[in-house]
Amino acid sequence: MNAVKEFVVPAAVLTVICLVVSAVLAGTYQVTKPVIEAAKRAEADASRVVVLPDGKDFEEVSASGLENIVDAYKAGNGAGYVITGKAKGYGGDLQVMAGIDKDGKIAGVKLMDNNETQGIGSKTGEDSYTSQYKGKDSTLDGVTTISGATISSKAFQSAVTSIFQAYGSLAGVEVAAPEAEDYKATVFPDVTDFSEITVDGAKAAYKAGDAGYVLVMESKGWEHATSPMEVFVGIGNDGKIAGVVVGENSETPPVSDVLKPEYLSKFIGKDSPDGIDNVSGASQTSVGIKKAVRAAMELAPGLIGDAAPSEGGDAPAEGDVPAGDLFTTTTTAKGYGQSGEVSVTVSIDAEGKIASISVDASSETTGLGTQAQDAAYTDTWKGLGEGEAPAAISGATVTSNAVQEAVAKAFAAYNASKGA
Amino acid sequence: MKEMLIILFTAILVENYVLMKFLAICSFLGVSKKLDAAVGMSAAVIFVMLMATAATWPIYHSILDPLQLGYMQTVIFILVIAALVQLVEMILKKFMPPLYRSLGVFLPLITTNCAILGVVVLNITKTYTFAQSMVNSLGAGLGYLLAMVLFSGIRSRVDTADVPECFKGVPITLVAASIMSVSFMGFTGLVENMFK
Amino acid sequence: MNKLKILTNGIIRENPVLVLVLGTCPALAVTNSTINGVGMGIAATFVLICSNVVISLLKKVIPDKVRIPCYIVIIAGFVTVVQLVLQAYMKSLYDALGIFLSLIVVNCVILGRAEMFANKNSVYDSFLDGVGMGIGFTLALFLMGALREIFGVGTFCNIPIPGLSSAPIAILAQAPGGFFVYGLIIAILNKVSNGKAVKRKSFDCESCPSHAGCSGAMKGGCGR
Repeated sequence: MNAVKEFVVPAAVLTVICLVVSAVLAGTYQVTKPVIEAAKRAEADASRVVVLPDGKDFEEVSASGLENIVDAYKAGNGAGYVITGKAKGYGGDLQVMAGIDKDGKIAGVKLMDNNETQGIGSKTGEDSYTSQYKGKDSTLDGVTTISGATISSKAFQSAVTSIFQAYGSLAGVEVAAPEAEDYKATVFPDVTDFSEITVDGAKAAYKAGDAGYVLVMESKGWEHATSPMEVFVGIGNDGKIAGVVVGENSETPPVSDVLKPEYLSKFIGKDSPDGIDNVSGASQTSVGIKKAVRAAMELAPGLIGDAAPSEGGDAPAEGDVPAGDLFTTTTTAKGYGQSGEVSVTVSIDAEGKIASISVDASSETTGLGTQAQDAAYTDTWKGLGEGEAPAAISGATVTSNAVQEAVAKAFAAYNASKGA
Repeated sequence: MKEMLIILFTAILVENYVLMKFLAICSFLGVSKKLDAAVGMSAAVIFVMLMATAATWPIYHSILDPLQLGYMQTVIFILVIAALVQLVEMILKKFMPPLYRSLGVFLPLITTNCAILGVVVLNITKTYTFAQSMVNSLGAGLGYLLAMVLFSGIRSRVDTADVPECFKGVPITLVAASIMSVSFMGFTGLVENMFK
Repeated sequence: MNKLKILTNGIIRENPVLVLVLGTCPALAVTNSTINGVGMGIAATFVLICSNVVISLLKKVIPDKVRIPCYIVIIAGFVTVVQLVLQAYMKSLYDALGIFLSLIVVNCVILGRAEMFANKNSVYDSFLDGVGMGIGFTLALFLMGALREIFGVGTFCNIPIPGLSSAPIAILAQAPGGFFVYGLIIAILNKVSNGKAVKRKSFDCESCPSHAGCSGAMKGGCGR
């Protein structure tokens, strides 16, 4: 009997109390729940009215299937939509909330969650930047980027564009896309008729009227850039570089000096990027551009050959020998340092001897490995056959070895082409 | 990993549970008089915090939340903590007497310690994952230890000082705590930049 | 005890915050503004009155062995009710009090009064005790909150005070300020009453209301 008193009764009492309390709480919860929900909704509504002042009674609509959209709300009174979109900015994803009124124009935008750099990318959250969006339609005509905060600005724009796309599907209207910047026009400013062609090895290609061709090459620039660069290489009918413009890229501001015309104009009139210095502090980007240009120029003979023959054909440039019975190929080998790569263009004659070679060792140590680019070194390769190599550059053994390795690969390709 | 370190050090320094968040004040002011008691209490606190988190987090996320019973959180958590402490005390007494002798006496006091309930509720409010919650609780406990140990040093000095009559006892202890709190305010901004 | 005496006991003679020095956590944490302090006081008073009454009603029913868990459940229940009601009808206060609303559960004042008074006295007496203690608690929080807000922010109930609002002593409204103002008030009380008013002389175990039931204290746990 005592056992009952000792254990059962206390446990029972405790249990009963727990049950009663739970019941009371459940009851209270039922009563307060609608009020709490209404309050939460009013709070959320308040934040949406900021970007769509005429909106009332926002209802969430499904955002599934809408690319880069976080959530979407339709104003119950028909004032429009409030949609939150995202895009990859400088410090990760950034979110933008935009109110689109019933005419398809922006009523307001607000920068939401983001990791942009304080004082730089974060300026996209400031009124001075966001106010320019008011009244714009989906083409975003006239929207400027913040100088020094290109990536954040472009991400903001991209998020707004995604928002317009979503608006289009939700509201069932046609949405015009923003005009893509016409980089090819920058290369050949006087050409108006660009026709798209396909060139193997290039991301995109255009015949630029009668002036030549524009090849769009994708190239990796800075190792930490979030996307590759688009390099527009203009090839004139004379087979020389007509211009280089860098289009879409995520190279960072101080580095992006290399993207400016002052540097890129150095390429004009040349056959290859040989001999052009890298921009100090932006070697990776410079190398990336040069690689793109080199790759484009390799495709050039194929293109110019197809076009109506122009006077003279390919004019031979220094170090190069006219195509004919020569086997020319470009190979690469790992040079000095983590991302160092040495690129070698070798022309091998019918007797299996090197007619000429040019070296791109621009990512090698300046003054040491880069000597491999000099004629003084490349000349020593002339006339050598497979397996033969001149003395390595003193102080630049690794680079020299890389050149050797690349030459060996060239010979392998040469042999393969002969055997095939 | 970096994120975990940030959570840990924020809980220990920047948002020290005692000096910045005002939790566990009673025990902080009461038990910090002697260093060995301070350390013993802190060890017990860390122990209970970790266990309470390990018990309450799954309960919330697998039972309360999915069933929309979030409002039962306060009742359930405090019951779990009370039961856990009783259980641990019994186990320690039976199976680990030496540990019981050093920690066990503090255990009943810990049930009503604001910091335990505080840290488990904060883990839910901040929607931490299980791992993050454990790290946060560890940080909270370590912060408590840090505050206790530092304060016991200060208090032994205060005891030998010439304190005005009306300040003796409770008031001067509080004033000393306020100065310690100022020093901890200096940690603001430290943690994010430590792990950049 | 005379009914009036019970009521006024908690306000002056045994004011929980200023005399018994209990419930220090919320006293420090939410007194950065007068409204928050009073809000917390009222919330805690409600819980205190309700739990005192219920526990007194059930004092013969609850077995001694499980009395602490039972008290805790009852108190937690009322705390949750307050939480839900505030969340629905006074969201700003709910947000301002934050986790300290939940922490009313472990507030020494409430558990202490349940243990020391409610389980030994009649329902009506317990009710009066709850009211008195609650008023005392709220008054103390009002005092601290007002001081910290007036001198720390320069406003009173969010109304700026000319002269003070331009040069506030900001640190008073922050963490260290809480400790300091509290200590200062008790020191002043001590001075004014020649050491007679403040019953709790130091922070050791004996003054804590749970002392009787705390097994830790029995074994000299609190740092002895």
